Amino acid sequence: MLISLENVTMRFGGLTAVDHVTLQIKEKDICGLIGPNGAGKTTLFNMIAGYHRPSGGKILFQDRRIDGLHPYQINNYGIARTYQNINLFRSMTVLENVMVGRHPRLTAGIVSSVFRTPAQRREEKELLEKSMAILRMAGLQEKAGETSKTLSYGEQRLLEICRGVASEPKLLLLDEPAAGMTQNEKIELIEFIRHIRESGITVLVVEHDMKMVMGLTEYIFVLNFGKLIAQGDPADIQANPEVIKAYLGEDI
Amino acid sequence: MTHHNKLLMASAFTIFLACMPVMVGNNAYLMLVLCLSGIFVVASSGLDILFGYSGQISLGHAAFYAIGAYTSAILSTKFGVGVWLGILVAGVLATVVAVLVAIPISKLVHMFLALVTIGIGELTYQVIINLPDLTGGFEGVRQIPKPSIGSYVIDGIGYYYVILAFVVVSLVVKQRIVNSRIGRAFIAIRENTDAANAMGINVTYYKTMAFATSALFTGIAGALYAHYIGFISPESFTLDQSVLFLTAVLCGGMGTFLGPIIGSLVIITINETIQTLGSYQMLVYGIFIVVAVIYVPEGLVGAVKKMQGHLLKVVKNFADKS
Repeated sequence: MLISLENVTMRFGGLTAVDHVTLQIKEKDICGLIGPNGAGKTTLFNMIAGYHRPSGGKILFQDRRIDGLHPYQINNYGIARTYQNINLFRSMTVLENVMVGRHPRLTAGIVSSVFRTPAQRREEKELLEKSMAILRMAGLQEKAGETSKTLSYGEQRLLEICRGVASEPKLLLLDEPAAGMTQNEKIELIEFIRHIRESGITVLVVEHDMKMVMGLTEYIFVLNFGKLIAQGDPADIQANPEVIKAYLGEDI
Repeated sequence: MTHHNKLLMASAFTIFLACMPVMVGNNAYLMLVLCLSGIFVVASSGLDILFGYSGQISLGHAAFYAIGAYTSAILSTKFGVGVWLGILVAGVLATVVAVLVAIPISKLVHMFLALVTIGIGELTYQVIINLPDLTGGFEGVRQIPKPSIGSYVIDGIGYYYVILAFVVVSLVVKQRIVNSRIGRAFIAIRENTDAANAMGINVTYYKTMAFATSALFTGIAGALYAHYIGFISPESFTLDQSVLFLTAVLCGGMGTFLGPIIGSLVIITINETIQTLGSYQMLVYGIFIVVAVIYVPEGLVGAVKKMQGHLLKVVKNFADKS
């Protein structure tokens, strides 16, 4: 198991946003996390990424407890994320955004940077090549020198994923990556995510576009009112009465 | 402009500055303005690393300027320590104090940070006036020696070159820092602290580093100032001084190479021109800050770039029509 959640719970005052969720994700899967609005998907994401400290339960990543750690520590362990609302470094160039994403993989300190040691220069050169390779994978290489805020909405989403991939994480959390994308952009996105998985990165994606989730993922978790109500492959999930009830409501 | 061209421009400008004493060496007023501007460039470039690149405000940098000035002044007058070593120790001590201060305040942002840094400036000022045995209190420290090489005392034009050397070195160091992994982490924190954290950047650590680095620059600038003027007293290290540093960065253009340089020249020139206004000087700076923030938030560097853009457009339109 790459990551396992045991009875993870998140309470905000009287509201239980995530309620005793237990789940496991295998390596090199593309997993989906779905559920109606307010089901607790983003809260669950934020707990894995270290943005929230769970009120209860355990999160184990490669058999190490990570709940309660800072986001930067969790990133250093090998979990990267994107945001539902785009959170790029707006006035940096597209290339620089990816370069920042690779921060934990680099070792240069302030002294070696000031003296431009051979090791530091080698590292910077390699960083440039790796970052450009990632941009090429997403088809953003032409925009490398542009300020990131000038990109279209869809391109900004792609860039967020590039930035996340740059640190070569073991697990990539994508929070609604297709939101606001055109149909063509979605097709490219699916291609890109598959490419990422092939490079050995496990992907967990929150997404509202059912067609996309069903086509992209191999395994799906369904949350409703903070509880995990179903899990299985896309066909199972589509046929699951609990899931249908959660999305369409009960008969009166 | 390519990297190569920029380097060429910078070298040419440095040579031009190095020739200044030959051209205007006998104009004492001009040399004073240049020397003070140079010291100011070192200090405000440091502040720019913190304020311009990392997005953390400090209204207390006079504290590090003071620590630098007093350390080197006291070491050389009371303990017979060599001036060069004194300048070095001054920088190191300012850095150490900055680290100690930065760790507890690194969680603060915006006006809270502004308030606490004002407090640090005030605290340092109070320490100086309340330790008269060491600092001379309101009397200050007098007869601070000039540096020397062997038996040759570096004075006048010679000291101009010392300042120029420090300016060049500090600007090179600054550029190397901001164009490295460290600098990218600083900028990422400025742009989006949450995302920076999620990208594996230890925000507290890098904020502390930015604070310490900027204090090193400002501390060394303080020492340079003390040995240049030869006399220091607490009045030179009040909140006004902190505001001046910030004004230099703001009006020149924060987070740029040229910003602090242009800003320092402008501020020192104005400062020397409006001496006659006495306590009304700060009024002028106040107006300056308000105008700068509202009309040219990117500073003079940004304003010039904008104007270049407009001019190019006008020329292009004109060319298209004819």
